[in-house]
Amino acid sequence: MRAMCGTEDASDVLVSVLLEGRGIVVNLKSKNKPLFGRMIEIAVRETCLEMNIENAIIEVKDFGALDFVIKARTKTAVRAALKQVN
Amino acid sequence: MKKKLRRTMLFCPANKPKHLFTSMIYEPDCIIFDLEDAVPFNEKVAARDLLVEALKAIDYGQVEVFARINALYTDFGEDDVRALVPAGLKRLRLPMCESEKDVKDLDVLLTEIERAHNIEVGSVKVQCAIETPKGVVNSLAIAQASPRVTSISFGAEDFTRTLGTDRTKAGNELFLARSTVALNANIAGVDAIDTVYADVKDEEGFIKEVESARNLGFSGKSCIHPSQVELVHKIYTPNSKDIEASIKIIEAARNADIEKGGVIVVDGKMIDIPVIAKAERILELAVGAGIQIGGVSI
Repeated sequence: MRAMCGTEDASDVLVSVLLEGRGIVVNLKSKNKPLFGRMIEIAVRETCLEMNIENAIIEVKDFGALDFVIKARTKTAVRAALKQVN
Repeated sequence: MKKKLRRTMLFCPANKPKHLFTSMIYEPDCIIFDLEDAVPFNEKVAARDLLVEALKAIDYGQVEVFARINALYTDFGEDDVRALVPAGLKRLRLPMCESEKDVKDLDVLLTEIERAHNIEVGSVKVQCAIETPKGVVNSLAIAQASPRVTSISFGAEDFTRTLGTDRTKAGNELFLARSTVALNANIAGVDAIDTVYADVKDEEGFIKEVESARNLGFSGKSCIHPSQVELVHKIYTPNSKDIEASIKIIEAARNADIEKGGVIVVDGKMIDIPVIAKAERILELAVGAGIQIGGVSI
């Protein structure tokens, strides 16, 4: 089951996490993907690294979120996913 | 010495990302990111995570940043403190503070967290929210319970709810409580912050309430809308006539060497220590509001 955090409001991001697969897979949907896609993915991956998450499929729907918002939403979603697993 | 002014405390819900990076553009003296009443139960953890990351990433400049944590007796309060302090939070507002013990419990928790994270012990300061009749009665003990307490605030909505009455525009039901909080803050040497005014469209009523709070001795006002910030700052900013008179009083007092006692007459009015202190307060407010004062150091 996926764990989600965030909203579709402007300046926010909707992150859903499934703790499965091999490695970290980030599927990003964003109008800003050509400009900021790489930065968004780095923010998600850094958060996973900080939380010692090695395997996850992460769907990211971005609505113009800043870096700190992406990190926070990822952190909350990962924590919720861990809670489901445990 | 330039005292930190707390004329305005702008409330912003911490579960809305946009507020976390736009609230400072309204230039309040303080922002309070709210994890308590403004945040739905199922968003408490997400809001805390947002605020933690915001604190790590955003430079709020001269604006003093507070977090209103959840009460320590809830499932979230202690975790709020454990997450926010290591992220850099230096000011927090303790809701529903009713006794000296509430402050001391938080003091113990903060000391433990500061030690664990190599943060200077005592560097995290606290504003205690007085929101019940019991809190009002104990407000002096609360304000003096720890050197961490730099201000106490009055919350009228919970106060009237607890008292079993309604809040009116005239505010008679709050007079004793507000006066008590302001007096006790003054005795303890901390700032007193007045309650919010919920009707954001009623500018006239808001102005009246801020003026009344200032006259009771409150140092500032809690604001729930950016439009209220400028109105409060105007009321708390001395006019040029008062500034000029204050400069004259302080200069005359220094020339006559009566700053520690004695009486002189300036423009036909008696000047003694209380008058000098008032003049200093006016200049302090003026400097805090960004007004240049030439010739007199305060």
